Amino acid sequence: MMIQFQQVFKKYQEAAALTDISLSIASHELFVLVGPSGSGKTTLLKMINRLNTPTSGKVLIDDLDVMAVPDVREFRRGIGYVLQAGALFPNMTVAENASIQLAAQNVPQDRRDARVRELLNAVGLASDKFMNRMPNELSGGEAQRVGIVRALAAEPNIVLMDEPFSALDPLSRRQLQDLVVKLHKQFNTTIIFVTHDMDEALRLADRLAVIHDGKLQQVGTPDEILATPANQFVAEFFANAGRQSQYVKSVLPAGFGQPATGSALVSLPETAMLSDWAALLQQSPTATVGIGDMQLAPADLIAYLAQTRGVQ
Amino acid sequence: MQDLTNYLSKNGGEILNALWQHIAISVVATVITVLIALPLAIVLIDHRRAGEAVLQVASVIQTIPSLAILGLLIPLVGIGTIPAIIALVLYAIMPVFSNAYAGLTNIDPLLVEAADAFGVSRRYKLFKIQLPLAMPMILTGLRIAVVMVIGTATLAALIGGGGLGTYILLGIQTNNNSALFVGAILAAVLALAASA
Repeated sequence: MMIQFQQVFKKYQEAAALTDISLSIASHELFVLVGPSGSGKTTLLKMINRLNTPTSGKVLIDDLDVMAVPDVREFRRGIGYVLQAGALFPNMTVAENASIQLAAQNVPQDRRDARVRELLNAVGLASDKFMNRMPNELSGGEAQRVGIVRALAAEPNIVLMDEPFSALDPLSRRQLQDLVVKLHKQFNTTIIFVTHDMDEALRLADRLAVIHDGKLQQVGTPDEILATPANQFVAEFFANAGRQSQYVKSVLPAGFGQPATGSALVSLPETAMLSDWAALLQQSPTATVGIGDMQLAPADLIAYLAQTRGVQ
Repeated sequence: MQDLTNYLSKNGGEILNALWQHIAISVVATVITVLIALPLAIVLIDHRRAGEAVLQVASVIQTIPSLAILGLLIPLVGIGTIPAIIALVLYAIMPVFSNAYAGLTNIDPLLVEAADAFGVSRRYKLFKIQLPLAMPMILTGLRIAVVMVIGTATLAALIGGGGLGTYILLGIQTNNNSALFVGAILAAVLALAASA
């Protein structure tokens, strides 16, 4: 299920919430929309299942314009959705909550139960114990696990997650992030995950899009974004990620390297890590590496590492 | 006390009749009120401006003294049980509507969004999500209305509507404390029982 945003604009009264967003998300990708609060990332997410509509521009799912779907309820039944803090219906049991999309699709009760049991076990909740619990008997982490089960129950091709873990304690958050990665591999769904937490974004994303003030700042893999931030904002947003100093590229601004002379260079990609460089030197201890239009000698690596001691 | 028991034993059957009549008037008025106010609140969930307008109108009606409403209705529908019920309904709509409307429109927006996002049918959303979540508020409004209706129904006797008010009125007019007590105490007990 490929998702494409084509020149999407959103205006509320006169204020621009989103400006000229063009973006494409591949099938089976775990794609993260990240940015500070109010950046427009949730607005963008909700355009996928039409909870929100663009003022102009298009959102396509497998080349089908979402505004052109004949039955919006039917369409939404095929898309999983995980909301902030679970948002379970307090008047329904865990099983009823989790099978709500299956109920909307008129799946028979016994098949609903079987599916929910299977998924509860998959997210680490013993189904015998949890099926008939009420939401107010669950911890925050358990409630959000049920929220994930609810999103996956109808075997959707696309799952949307809107800051699902922002209200959780750090330990539960970490566990649930690992769970999302595991489930993504297991079910191979396309997941679009919204967060304002850059650590979460980096941990989860196959690729991520950084959004600020309604504008797309950069799209890429975590390595690409950390190693080659497109602008000042992206660089600052990820400044505390603690990984930048691990990239070969960050050796250059530290004052090392000479303009490339072109002799006997081993070219490294811009996203290469120091460990890649070290592995290369282990193979050929005297290799000079080229990155961009600069070159680095083996001694530069040692000098750089010596200098970063204590900084990290 | 002696007078009261004498009065009771002599008029027991009629008093019981009046009690039933009072209950019947109250129940009919409450049912009609709910049948008007609840669907109205449901229809107006997504029309907040109209909802506010209805709220205003209902509260204006409620500020009119009940005796005045009865008086206004006599030239329109005459005297008897029917104008009494109409007056009670007009009176009780405000608490039922305002509570139901508040309950239905104050559901956590995240839950409403969830219901929409999962593509449930309109019926499912209403009966499995919105009404259950608003139920405590709806019941609060209903309780207020029932107590109010039972109390106000005593005035129905003034326009020949029957009920326990007949005895209160009789007691006042003929200076008969026994009749007065029977009507007043039964009406009070009924109201207390309904609110419990």
